[in-house]
Amino acid sequence: MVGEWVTVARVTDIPPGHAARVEIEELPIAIFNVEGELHCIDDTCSHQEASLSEGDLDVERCAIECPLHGSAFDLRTGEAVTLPAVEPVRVHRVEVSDGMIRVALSG
Amino acid sequence: MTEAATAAGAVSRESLEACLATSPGWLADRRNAAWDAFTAMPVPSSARDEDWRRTDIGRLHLDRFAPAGPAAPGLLELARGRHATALPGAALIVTDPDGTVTIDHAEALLAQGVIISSLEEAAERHPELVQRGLSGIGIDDSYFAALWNALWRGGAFVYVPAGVQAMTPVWVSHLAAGGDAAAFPATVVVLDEHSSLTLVEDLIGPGADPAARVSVAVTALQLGDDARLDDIPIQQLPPATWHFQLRRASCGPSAHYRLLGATLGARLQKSYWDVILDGRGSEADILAVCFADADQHLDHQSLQLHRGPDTRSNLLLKVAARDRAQSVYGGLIDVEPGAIHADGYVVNRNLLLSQGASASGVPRLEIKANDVRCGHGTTVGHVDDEERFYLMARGIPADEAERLVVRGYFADVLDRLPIESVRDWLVSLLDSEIGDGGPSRFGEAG
Amino acid sequence: MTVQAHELTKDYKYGFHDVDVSVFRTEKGISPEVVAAISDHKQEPEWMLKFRLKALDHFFKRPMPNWGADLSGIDFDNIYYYIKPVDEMGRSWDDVPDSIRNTFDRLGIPEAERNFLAGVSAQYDSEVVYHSIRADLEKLGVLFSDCDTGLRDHPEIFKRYFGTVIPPNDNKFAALNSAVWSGGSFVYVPKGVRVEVPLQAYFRINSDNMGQFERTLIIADEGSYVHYIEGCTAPTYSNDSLHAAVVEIIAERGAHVRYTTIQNWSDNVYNLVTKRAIAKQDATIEWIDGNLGSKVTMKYPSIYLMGEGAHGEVLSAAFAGTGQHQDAGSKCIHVAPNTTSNVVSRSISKGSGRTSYRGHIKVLPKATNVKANVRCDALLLDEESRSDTYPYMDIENPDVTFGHEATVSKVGEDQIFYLQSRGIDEQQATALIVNGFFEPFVKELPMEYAVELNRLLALSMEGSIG
Repeated sequence: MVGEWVTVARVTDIPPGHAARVEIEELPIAIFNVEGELHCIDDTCSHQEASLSEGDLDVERCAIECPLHGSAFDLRTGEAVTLPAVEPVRVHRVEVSDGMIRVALSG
Repeated sequence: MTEAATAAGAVSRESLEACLATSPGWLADRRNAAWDAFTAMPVPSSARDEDWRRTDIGRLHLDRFAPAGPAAPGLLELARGRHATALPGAALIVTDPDGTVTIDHAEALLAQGVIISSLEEAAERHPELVQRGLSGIGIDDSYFAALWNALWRGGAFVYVPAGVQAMTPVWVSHLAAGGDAAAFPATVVVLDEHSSLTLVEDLIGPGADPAARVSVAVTALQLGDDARLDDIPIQQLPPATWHFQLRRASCGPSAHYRLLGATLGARLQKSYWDVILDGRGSEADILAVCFADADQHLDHQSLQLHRGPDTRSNLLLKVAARDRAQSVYGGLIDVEPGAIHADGYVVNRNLLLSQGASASGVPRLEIKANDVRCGHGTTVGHVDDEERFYLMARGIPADEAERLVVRGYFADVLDRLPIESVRDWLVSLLDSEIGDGGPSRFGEAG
Repeated sequence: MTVQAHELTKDYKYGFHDVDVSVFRTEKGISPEVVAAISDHKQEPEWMLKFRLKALDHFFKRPMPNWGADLSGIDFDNIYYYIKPVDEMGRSWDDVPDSIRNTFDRLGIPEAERNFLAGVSAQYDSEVVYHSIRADLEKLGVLFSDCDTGLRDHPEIFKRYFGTVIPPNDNKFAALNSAVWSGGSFVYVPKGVRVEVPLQAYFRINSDNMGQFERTLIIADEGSYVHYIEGCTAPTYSNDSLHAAVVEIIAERGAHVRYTTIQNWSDNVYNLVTKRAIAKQDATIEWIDGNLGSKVTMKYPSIYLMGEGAHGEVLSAAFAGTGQHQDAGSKCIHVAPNTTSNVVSRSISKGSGRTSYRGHIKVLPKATNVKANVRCDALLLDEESRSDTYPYMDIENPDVTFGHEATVSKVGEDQIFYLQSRGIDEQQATALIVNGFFEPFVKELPMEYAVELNRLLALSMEGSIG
């Protein structure tokens, strides 16, 4: 259901510095709270099968480091900023509405 | 822990009980041990298991599939029709997914002393032979092998006594389960010394039926001294099938195993073709074609295990992939220290016909004896622009051109089929597979 | 839908402000204190200390690899990670084992080099040559020093590239190196500059040349050329049983970097190396990788072909005698279109030695018009010799011409027979064939190395060493 807004969590579920992994129609996505701002990307690293929501958050660069090999992805653009990942992950739209977090999947 | 063992589904205690009810003591014990092993094994994971790295079955929920009922209407006729076209002289064993087995045209073979029956019946009447046939399949060899060992029904069994050259081939037709159901096809063949047989194994379902279904199949082949088996497996399951297969041939001294197969159907296939060259001087030739299109994910794994001295094996797998299809190949040539003079070779060729198709592979060698000659080769390529241009320039429409190219590409394998009528039939199957896709993108370069 | 919220930002249990450097003693084992002391000793900027501590965290968390060679013999707690006790430092030529000294003699290694290689003396005694090479480099604007100096004197360039090719969490041993690295080379070649003389480790000023945890960073700016040589053919004795090095190379547009390694560590060494290069548009990377020594080597020089027109070459030779396992290979990742790669691997197993080729060729969906080729050949000399090949390939674009071929065999009887019929005895015949087998590799080496390598191979075949 690309483009449709889906409610996935409460705002209080994801405080700053935390992440959550959610499945929308069996597609795993990750939501990060970077100093109050929410970002949403594919949860699966583009390099190998790993969950980005379990990685290290680099607040300075606004990036997430994959726990498997350390590839960092910019949370704003989805771009891979270090090897060994070379392909980006998709960025999905995320917003807060009435205390609830909603996500709209990109194509 | 598996999620699969819930009530009333195909993979459940109830199904196991139903199988136990029709099994003699030794087989019931085997099934129980296999079920225990299965429930204790984790589901293969592409994150954790090396040989599943490129094949992800995370979306398969075994518990959502019902036990197989009788075959869909018309399927028996379809099976008979294929047999009649390709090899009318062969004995025919048709297995229904619910365990019913029908046998026709077996008189000539029976007169020779060949045993042809359902596997269930053979387990009852010829336990030592069936045990021999299954001796190469460990009950917990893998997640799906354990599942099969517990739940197979019906099945086909063939035994060729010593010195007998089977007068006619045997054609085994395994009919797929209905939509949202699971089937467990079984074939066991035992060839005693100096005997020979040609076997065709046809896995089919209702053509374009879009319903999902599961197929977990094992074919166990035992070749005695100097036995010869020509094995022709054709997989043409419906487009939404999850198909898991183990085919294992164990070869005694001087035995010769020849496989010539075609993989055409299923949505996702994970098949293992293993040849164990136990006996001195045993040989195996494995040749296969695979045509993948739409969203198919077809994974072939092979093992050429050289144990005895002076053994030879050769594998050639040719894959053509179109649309968004993915081909995966993983092979191992394993030469044990005693296997001197081992000669083992693997060739995997991949032809990618469109943007979006992909091929991956890992052909491995593990060589522990030095007086050997082993190697492998893999290529991945596309139809080169010259060839494409040549065909289009002669006014041949894109669809036809693609069919010609793929046919030509597969020709050297198909030409090796020992029986002409089977070859012609297979060529026509391939033609319709190739023609069945959407408008050909053959004309588009790169 | 499952929601799992968990802590991401990690506060280091040992925040660097709290580490008591004065507590550090010259002892074995690794801990945040050891790492902090290393950084303090080198007077590094804070970002590097943070980098090291984070890497240490990754090192502790990562499991040992469950593939490849047998690493169970590594005793992490029994290793000095930086400062060694005083009695180890005063080593003299007499402390070097006989077998090594004999080999040096037979190979005719000049005394000056010997001293260097044995870790006895810090300076290269042929001062005239040494100084003139350094003067030339300075004139060209080439930066060549060890990494400690690079970090200190050229922080902007250093920080821009360091850790971008191999992140600290890439694998367990890259994490270890990232935590305790010391020594290694830092090379920066400015735009358009061609460095004609190969750069070698002992041209550096520093004595930390044969470090266990070397970190090398080579940056070739647009249109430049440099050839770097690491190691040497002479057997290199090392007290240290674990070597975990990291080499990062960046070839900017149109640049060309050749990196030659001849590794011949003594047979007590576990040599675990992560080497990776990025080739941008029209750049070329060549790895010439020779593995002769060590007890276990795990090393897979990689090339990421990121820009159009980039080209990668890996030429690998491995020799495993009894008690050795060379697990080596290469990775070529085609990210951009119009890229090419070529891998040639030759390996020989003798006695109960084992060689494994492990490689990966990947062509991503956007990489059209790619040509990639891999050729591995292995020779098994004796009955107990062993060879494995594990080539991985993932081709996701049809517009590719890809081929991979591998063979494993023993020396042909007919070849031996032919040579014997020319009056050459069997042992010499085998040696000739072995030399011929390695020829594609040897011919890429600078002449003096080629000569030494051939002599070394002859000695190995005689069985008089290793």
